[in-house]
Amino acid sequence: MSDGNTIFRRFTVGPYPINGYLIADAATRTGVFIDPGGFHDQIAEYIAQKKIDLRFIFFTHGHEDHTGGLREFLTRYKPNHCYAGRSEVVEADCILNGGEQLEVGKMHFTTFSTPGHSPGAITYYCPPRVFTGDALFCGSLGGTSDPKLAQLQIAQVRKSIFALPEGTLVYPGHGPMTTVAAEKYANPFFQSARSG
Amino acid sequence: MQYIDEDASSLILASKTLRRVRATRSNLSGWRLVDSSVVDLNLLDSQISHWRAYDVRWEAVSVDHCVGEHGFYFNCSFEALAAYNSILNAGHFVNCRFDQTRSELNSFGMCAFENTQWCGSTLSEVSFIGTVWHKCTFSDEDYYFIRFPGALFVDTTFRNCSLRKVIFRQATFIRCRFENCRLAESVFQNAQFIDTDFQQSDIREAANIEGIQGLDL
Repeated sequence: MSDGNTIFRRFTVGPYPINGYLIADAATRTGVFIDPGGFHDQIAEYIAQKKIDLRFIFFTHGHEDHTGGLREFLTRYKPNHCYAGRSEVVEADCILNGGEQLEVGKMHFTTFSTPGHSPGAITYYCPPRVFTGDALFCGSLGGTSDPKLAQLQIAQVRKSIFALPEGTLVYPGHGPMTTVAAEKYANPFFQSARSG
Repeated sequence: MQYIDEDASSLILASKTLRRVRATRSNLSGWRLVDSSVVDLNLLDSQISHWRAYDVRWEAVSVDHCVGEHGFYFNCSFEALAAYNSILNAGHFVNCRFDQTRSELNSFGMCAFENTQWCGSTLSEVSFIGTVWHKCTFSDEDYYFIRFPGALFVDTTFRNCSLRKVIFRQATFIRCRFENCRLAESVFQNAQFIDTDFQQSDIREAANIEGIQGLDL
């Protein structure tokens, strides 16, 4: 949902469809695209219609389904900077470790390190929204290559994402959006084992 | 056609028909509707939280990129609801009926449904995480990759439904029934069943039945 301060849109992008998100500061029209897994005319039309100045690309992680459209974005919009976690995206010129504060126009993003599904995975928080990539899905979480990484991912999600206000809107890399409250209290991967 | 201004919160509608309304980037939270009809309402990028509706007929309502939490709907019918990219969480629906709903990448998480019927809907990648269903019926529903993790179903029936890749992980079913349903690639991991039966519905079609309790397979 866009509000008085922001312009916001979800797009299905890429041949392995993911959620790509466009968010822009309504006052300055400065915008960022999160996870450019692909590109299509609807994105171009929306950016033009809303007169968005796309200055930044954020990657939650470097898997191909989240990065495959980067070349088209770079060619069309020549963003100032591409942000990603360490060793995630070769083209990223700004490396994140988690804990950074990023400004997009008048919007303020805080980054969290949420490794597991990918070692340098980053979650981006701009109230009231958090973009979790494949670290956290509605009712699930992104797959990992071994149980220890899964436990690390669960711990990092609890420490960072679940510490946010419960009304925070969660926008994952795949599937429907959700809220911190819904995931904290009903996501089976974060509940204690069922008894009886 | 009526276009709503940016702030139209706390509207009260009693025994009226609201017809052909468009709202974009509007705050429509706090509406109160009684004994009314809403026909052809199109909402985009809007806030629609804390609605209270009693005896209201909703026809051809569409919501896209909206947030509408904590609504309460009593004795309402929803015909041809279209919901996309929206968060409609923590609502409470009593004695309601949903007919021919279309929804994709939408959330009804943490909602409670009492004596409510869903009929003839087509839903794809919709969340019903943590929902509670009591005396509800799903009939002729066509679902793809719908999420019901942690949901609680009591005295609820699924009849003639296609439940492809539907996630019922850690869901609980008490006195429920699946009649003539297709369960291809569904997930019932750690689901719990009490007095629930499957008639002409084979849970072995599911992709994952690890850890289920209360079913004699």
